[in-house]
Amino acid sequence: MNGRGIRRTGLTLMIWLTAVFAFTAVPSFAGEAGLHQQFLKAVSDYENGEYVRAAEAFRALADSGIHNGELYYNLGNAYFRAGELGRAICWYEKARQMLPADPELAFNLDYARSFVKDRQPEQSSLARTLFFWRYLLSQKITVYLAGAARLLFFVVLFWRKVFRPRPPGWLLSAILAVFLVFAVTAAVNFYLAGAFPRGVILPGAVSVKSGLSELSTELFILHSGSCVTIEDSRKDYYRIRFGGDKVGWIQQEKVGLISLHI
Amino acid sequence: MKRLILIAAALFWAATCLAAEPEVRATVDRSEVAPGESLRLTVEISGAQGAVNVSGIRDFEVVSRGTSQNISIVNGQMSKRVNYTYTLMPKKIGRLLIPPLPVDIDGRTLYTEMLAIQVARDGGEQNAGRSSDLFARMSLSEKQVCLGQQFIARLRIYNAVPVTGRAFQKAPVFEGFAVEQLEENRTYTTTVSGRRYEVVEVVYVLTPEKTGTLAAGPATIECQVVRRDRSAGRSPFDAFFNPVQPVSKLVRAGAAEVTVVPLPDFSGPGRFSGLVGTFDLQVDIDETALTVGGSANLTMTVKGQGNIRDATLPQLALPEEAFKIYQEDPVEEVAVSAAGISGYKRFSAALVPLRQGEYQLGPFSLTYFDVEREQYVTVQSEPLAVTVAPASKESEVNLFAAGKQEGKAETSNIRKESVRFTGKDLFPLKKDLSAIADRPPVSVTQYLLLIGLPGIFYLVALAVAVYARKDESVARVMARQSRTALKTARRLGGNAGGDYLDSLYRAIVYAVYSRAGRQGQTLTYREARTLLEEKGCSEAFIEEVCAFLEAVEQARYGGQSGDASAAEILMRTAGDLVRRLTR
Repeated sequence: MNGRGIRRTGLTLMIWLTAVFAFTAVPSFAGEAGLHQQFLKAVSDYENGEYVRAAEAFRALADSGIHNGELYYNLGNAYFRAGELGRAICWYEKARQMLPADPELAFNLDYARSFVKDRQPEQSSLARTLFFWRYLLSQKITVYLAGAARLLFFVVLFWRKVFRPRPPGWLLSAILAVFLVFAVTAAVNFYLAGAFPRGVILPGAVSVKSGLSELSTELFILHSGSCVTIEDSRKDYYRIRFGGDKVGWIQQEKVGLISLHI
Repeated sequence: MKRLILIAAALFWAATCLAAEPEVRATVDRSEVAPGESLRLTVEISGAQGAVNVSGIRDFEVVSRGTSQNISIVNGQMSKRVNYTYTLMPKKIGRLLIPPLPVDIDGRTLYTEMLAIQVARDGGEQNAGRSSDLFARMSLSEKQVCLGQQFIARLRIYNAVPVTGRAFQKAPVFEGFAVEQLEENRTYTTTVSGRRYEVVEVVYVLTPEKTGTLAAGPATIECQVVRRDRSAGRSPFDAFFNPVQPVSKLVRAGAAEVTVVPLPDFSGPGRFSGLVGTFDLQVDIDETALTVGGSANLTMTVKGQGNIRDATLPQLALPEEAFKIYQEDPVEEVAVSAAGISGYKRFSAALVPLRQGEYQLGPFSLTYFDVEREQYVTVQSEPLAVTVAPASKESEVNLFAAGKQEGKAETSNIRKESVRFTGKDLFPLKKDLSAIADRPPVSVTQYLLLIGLPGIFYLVALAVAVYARKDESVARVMARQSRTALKTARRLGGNAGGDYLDSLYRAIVYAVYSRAGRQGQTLTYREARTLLEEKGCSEAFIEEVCAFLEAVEQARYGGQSGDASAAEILMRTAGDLVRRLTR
């Protein structure tokens, strides 16, 4: 092919690429612009005191498939201001799974919890101290760290097998230890989210029953914002546990699910 | 001939079956019901399969109960019937209509007949449901209440026939009320219009949160009524093995209304606490003789019957700047009974006196609205006398940020205090557009891939390295042996004679094998030539190598190893050849 042919081919290729870009990028830019507008409108509603409208707008963004801890934080704020304590705490908890070390989120969640009528069971401080990274890192970061340690482990192992000089054995052991810590932590997080999903009571007060009917005996009452563990689901009821010994059934619509991985 | 007759008979039979026109029919099990009672509507489709549209029924709530099929052959004629069953609950009293229902059969629409149902007017509890097996009522303890005044709502479900189970099909709605339900439902028997009923009573304590006419309920309850079912088509064996069949029935309790009036304006001293009911206030302090910097626990208990949960901290009438106050979370204990909500709420605060002196704390007061007296009532606690003695030197408290005093050395007597929150509010929104960037969580599959893929890459890379090295390793081994032989020769020196030449010879032989990528111990210079030609070496280089091998062999077997300079030349040449062969 001569120079002219090359230039013609290159020009044709450029035209095709531009066309493909235009047809794919323009709609996506337009779509993104729509989301930006929705978000800014929701922020404006919040600042003007239209908390219910702001909550609905943020909720629409979340329901459109956006997973973002900051968006969930904003939902928590909007619901709190709108007087829906249960929903506020539910969204704060979802945000905490993605931003566990965010100080503003921690403060707001703590503040919202101070309004919960039920005394919450205390969490083990020993576990929080011993396994501090589980409470500082999000599940995503933990998985990525496990993957990176795994990759590094095999790179160093390959180097030892193939090249000289060989890296020291203690380096391999250290990397393996780091990998095991993060991999096991990630696995435990997945297991707990799947086997023991957590939820938040949404209405002001909920009667926890002994059976799958509103006419069953009331066992105890939980109030908006209380966190529960979901042990089973049947029909449209969840069997929940609050603290160590309080177990009962409540309607599924009255519980907001926290876990992101189920 | 026989065959012809048989074919004709079969065709005739098929024709009679196909000739049957589909029919639709709607029937009800009763045409008169009381308010809150349900009836059963059955739409029967004969001779075909179809779809029933019940959206036109406006006067009833409609709950589908499923379908059943019946196939029969009579006089050689097969007929098929499909029944669609619905439970209907009337929405009002009077003469209600079930309009002709369209049934779509293979693209054709047939209509059922219109049906009229009489829903009897309610004549009061004694007369209501006179002949009903089941009915339900919602009743309130008050017709008019004040805002915040609690009262009782009772949902009673009456059954004169055995019932195996009850469940809310639609639970009662108490919009505008805070609701507490009694833990256990009451069960008792009563007589209504001469008929004995078993009653299940669900008790709610309602506290209105807004004024106006509010409704408690309605509610729809599904009951499993036990009755012997003698419907057509059941075999005697079914009757023997399954003598009773529970039938699902719906009963409806209508809404009960209550008028909520606002509380009268409060114009007394102090402030209204928001409590409605009957209450008392108790104030205690655990220590009345204090020192500056010490602490005492002040407890205020609001106790009584009413909206106790809404109690807030009574006003603290404490001398200004004499005490520092640290409030604790309130503790409440509340019981819900058929008389209402009662209990107590306890507020505690730690008091730290800042100045010595004698103080009177209180009296503390609580103003609530007494429903029985229909007026605001203020209860007061007895004042508490507290004596604050001066602090010891170690715990002296300086109220002023004093500068250097004359004649005195400057010392810091400031008592350090923990920083506590003076107020709390939410941190603001996160307004950056990064808040709408999608960051999906990691799935279990992604996690397993991240963990598993590096291992797979490692195995593949290792296999590639091992395979690539297969050819190389021989060359490297031979190159290493060549260098080792050269080192040996260097170490032995030219005076070593045969051993020295031996080492040189081996060095070149191993180097040639290394170049050829093969293993070997000995080599003639013809073989060396062949190997180096295969590897594409230049003719001049091959000649050099072969000449060296020949020279070494001659020196070994010709006894010319003693010359040091010659040995030196051989050494240098061998080193150069090894370098060029093994690079």
